[in-house]
Amino acid sequence: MKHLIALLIVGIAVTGASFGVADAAPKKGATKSLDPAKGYFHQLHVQKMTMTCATCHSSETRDILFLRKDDVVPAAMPGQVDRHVCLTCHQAPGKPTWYGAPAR
Amino acid sequence: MTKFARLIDTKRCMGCRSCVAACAVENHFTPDAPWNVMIEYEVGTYPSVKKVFNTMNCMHCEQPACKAACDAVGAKAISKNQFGVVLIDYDKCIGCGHCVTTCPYGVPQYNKEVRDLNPGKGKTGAEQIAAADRHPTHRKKAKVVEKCTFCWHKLEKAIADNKTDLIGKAQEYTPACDLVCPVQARMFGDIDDPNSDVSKRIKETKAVQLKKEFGTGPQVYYVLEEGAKS
Repeated sequence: MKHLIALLIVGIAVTGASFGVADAAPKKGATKSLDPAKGYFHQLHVQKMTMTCATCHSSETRDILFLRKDDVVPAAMPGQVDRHVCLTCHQAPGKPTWYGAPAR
Repeated sequence: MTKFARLIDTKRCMGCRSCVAACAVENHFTPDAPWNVMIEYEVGTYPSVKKVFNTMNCMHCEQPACKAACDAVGAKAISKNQFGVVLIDYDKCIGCGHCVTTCPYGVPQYNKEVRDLNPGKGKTGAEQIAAADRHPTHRKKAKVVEKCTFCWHKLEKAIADNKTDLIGKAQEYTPACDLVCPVQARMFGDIDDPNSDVSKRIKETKAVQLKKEFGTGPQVYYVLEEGAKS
């Protein structure tokens, strides 16, 4: 009986932890959504960081050295993202970064 | 230690796209998710203009932004092995698109669906191979991200056969794109070996990496035309 109770407690704890992780990260099967209301990337930048669309998107941007250069930009979208904008935050010390140290 | 790198000489490249075709055949990538793309643009001012042909594939960065993003969301589907090759585990990929968004080179391709390569004409030989019989990097799945692997299935074979010295020389051990270039604009090999052909040529030609400002340490080097974008 004691073993059963212990197993139950462990089970509840593991399940709770799993839900905690799932809330913090995109779920399995999540798609690359461009919809600001659904897309995880937009949720972070638009809703949590309260950034405006124009901060990242520019209709004048044309980064030619980009493999997916023919990505279709939906009519409602205000232009492609210049990845150099990302560097302003994601290359700074002490902030979440995807990019290494600035190259000399 | 062996670390693989590629050199692309845009001064020699004539834009024939043999490398693109070879990659498509070797890795049977779908039209919506190409692993190797030819980008062309003009430099200079009329009448002194030149056309630049710049093929792009995965840069297999030393500090891959795609991997950092993937690790941050907890999927951990992207790895960089001891030979410097960045690979995606399709079984772990959750299709969140973070790697697609963060890569400064636009390399990762989100594959919405696995479509027939020749719609209406039946499956090609490669498509008829059962998933279990394919190399893991060729087990196409919908709603996951895929990209160039430096033809890891070939490199892996060279390592297993203890013939890494033949990488970049022998057909079975060399990435398909580097193999077919008719003007020798592409070279592949061990950059950690200062005596390798690729190391020597990178040094001789003063080849550069693209978009160095991102600090990702790309392992594809380019010999650029004067005025070409870097």
